[in-house]
Amino acid sequence: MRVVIKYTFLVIVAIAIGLGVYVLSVKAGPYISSSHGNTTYGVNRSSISALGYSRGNCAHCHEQHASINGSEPAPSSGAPSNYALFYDNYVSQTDGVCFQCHTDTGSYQTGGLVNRSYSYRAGGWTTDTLNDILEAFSFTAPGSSHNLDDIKTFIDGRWGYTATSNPCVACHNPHAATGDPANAPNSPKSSTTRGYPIARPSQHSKDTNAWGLWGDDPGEKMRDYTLDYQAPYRYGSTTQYEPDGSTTQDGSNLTDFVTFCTDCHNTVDTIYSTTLARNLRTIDWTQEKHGLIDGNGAVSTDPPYDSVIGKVLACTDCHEPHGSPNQVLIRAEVNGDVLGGTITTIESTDCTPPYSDTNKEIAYLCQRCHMDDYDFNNLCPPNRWYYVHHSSASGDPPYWASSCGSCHASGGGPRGCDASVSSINCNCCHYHGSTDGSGNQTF
Amino acid sequence: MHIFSLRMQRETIIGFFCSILLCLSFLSGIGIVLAKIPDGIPCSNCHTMHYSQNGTIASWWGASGPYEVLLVNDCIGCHSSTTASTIINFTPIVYNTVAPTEPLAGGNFYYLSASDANGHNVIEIGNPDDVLLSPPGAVHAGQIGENELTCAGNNGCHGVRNFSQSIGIISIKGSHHTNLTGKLDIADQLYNSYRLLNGVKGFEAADWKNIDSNNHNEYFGNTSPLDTSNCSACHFGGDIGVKPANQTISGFCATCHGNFHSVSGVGGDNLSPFTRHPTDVVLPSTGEYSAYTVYDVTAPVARTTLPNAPSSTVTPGTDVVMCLSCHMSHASPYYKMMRWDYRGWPANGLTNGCNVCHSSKN
Repeated sequence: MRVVIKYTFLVIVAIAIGLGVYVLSVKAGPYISSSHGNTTYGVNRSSISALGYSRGNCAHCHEQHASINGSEPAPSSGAPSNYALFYDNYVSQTDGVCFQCHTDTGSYQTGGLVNRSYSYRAGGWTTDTLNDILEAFSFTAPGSSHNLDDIKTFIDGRWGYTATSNPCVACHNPHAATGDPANAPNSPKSSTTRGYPIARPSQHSKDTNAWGLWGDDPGEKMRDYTLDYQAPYRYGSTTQYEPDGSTTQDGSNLTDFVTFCTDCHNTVDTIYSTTLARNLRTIDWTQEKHGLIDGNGAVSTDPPYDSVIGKVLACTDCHEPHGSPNQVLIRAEVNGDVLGGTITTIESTDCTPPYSDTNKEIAYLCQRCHMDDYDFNNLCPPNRWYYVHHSSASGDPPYWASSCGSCHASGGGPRGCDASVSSINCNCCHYHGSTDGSGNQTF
Repeated sequence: MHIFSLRMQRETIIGFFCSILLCLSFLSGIGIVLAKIPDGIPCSNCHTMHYSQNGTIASWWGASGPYEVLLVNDCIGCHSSTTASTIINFTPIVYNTVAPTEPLAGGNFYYLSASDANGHNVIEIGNPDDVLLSPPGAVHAGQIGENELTCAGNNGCHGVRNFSQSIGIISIKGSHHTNLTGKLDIADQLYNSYRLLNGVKGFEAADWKNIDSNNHNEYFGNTSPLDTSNCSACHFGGDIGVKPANQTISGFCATCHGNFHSVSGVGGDNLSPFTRHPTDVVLPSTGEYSAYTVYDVTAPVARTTLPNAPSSTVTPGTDVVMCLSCHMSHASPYYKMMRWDYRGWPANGLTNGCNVCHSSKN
């Protein structure tokens, strides 16, 4: 009898668990699984939650009638907004519906929303003080932010976007994006807390089933893009790697950002940058040395790249997606450490030999992976680049140290790292798509 | 006693055959004239000459008479019950004082007992809205004032809405004697309008219920919302008063909630993006909407052409969204008279009716 009771109980428990799993699996659609739809940390506009609406409810973003209980819930803009949103979908670089909650101060969601930089989340640079999306998009020169006006202009008419589309939606599906990390804004992501916040613009659809997240499925990893991806170190570590702090280095845990970013930043589409007052450089990652093209001769790179030719980078290894204190969204922390200084300019004032523009701020970035003179000889100053350009110690110097004055405005001087020869702005020769006079890739 | 017994047997037999007829009519999908007062019903069931019987009032009469058109009760008086039944003696019950077992398609005013926000607070219920003092979204400020909403008449929904006086019974005068049911695609008079909503087309389910995909009302819709900037969209003047020119159920709602359900209210046209959730707009045939192909009483659609019988098929690209896709008309168990617990979703773990149309936003 006891056996019968026991097994009956077990069967009932099994059925209950099975039903529970079934119910959960049925209900957990893309929105419920998203950050916005989460009942613990999802959308929760204060004026809506005060009316008893569940966290994660549609009404926190969409007002079906622009009125509840006879008046418009805060913020009351006086007129209903497109897509029945509680605020105008997009107004400017720092004004739009997303920023009404995605800010740590003045948010319409109680307590505000803390979102960190990529350098913080993936790079593990937890001393980065940037803590919300509005702040990230507020960078102006010498910093930079992804220009939302330009994005809006670019996507209009492409992939189902229209003139009324929100530029944030170029990269994010608000009904599907997951926290990265989820509900842990003050921690870098880990293999268990990481999420997938982006969706490819070229796959954009109002149907969330058709416009899935990018990076979450097999075939959408950097490992799928190339077998030669090498993950950079996390901040202050030589054992943990981006993006999740694990020991994985081959990109199997990293979204294929190259495919994602080149939906827009490719060689076919022309993108005018209002910020730079010129068209952005086109990018063919299959034809760049930081991309799929192998270097030739030798390369002098720091760990974990270890001077191995053929390594491939992901866009986010160097660039922030939203904003940065540096020009062209260059990260403030790269490959385990912060940059040696701020990159305030990306343009060169003189790229005609002999080069008088000696600005080498951009080398603060290069320095994080490429060996500067200090790395070859710690008696040399950092951010000096004699060895890789002129010394056989680098294995494949492109220029012998002679006829200095033909390139260096200062003219010649003694060889070695203590030379007083003036520098040359790296950007004259090294940028996306750059080649030397012989057609060799120089980036 | 003997006579009474015979009468009871006769009534039992009649009742039995009526039931058979009712069932057959359901099965055939034709429907019978249930809303009309059946022949043979004594006038005194509904009317009294003097609102007096033997010097007092009968027990089944309303206590606040005399009533207009010599009735023995008001709207709620006849269409209410202290039981949980919602159809009693062929009378649709819209207000039960206890939880109804199977509310009719329009819901049940019982739910106002839980919250004023659960339904239309008609004054006949005696539970005025403590928050809303006029129809939200009204085009004309103060068109219905505090504690003025009635079941019928100028300040109500049913009947001819040109009577500014009374609680509205007079506005449905005679319609219970001539009322048609089934497919009502003319709606040029009150008696041939859907559920005595003057001017509204529709198909009336014979049992007043939206039960499942095969058994439900059919609502009439249009491909563009009512243009309330045009006075003639609602105002017909004279003996007609107010009714929706487009004859849709959403247009009808717009006669009071015009800013919510008008062309200008949703953004100026019938194209996305909308500034409010559109009604009388075609359910798109593409994307997530294309998945809605089987009629779901959780979020029903309206038809631009009324079928001859309830249809279980939804055709994205043809069928339209309406107010009643989301809301009950009388009252529901849920905040803002929603058809489902929208406010509680997703924490409640229940189905979100939005997903019926927005099938990928689950």
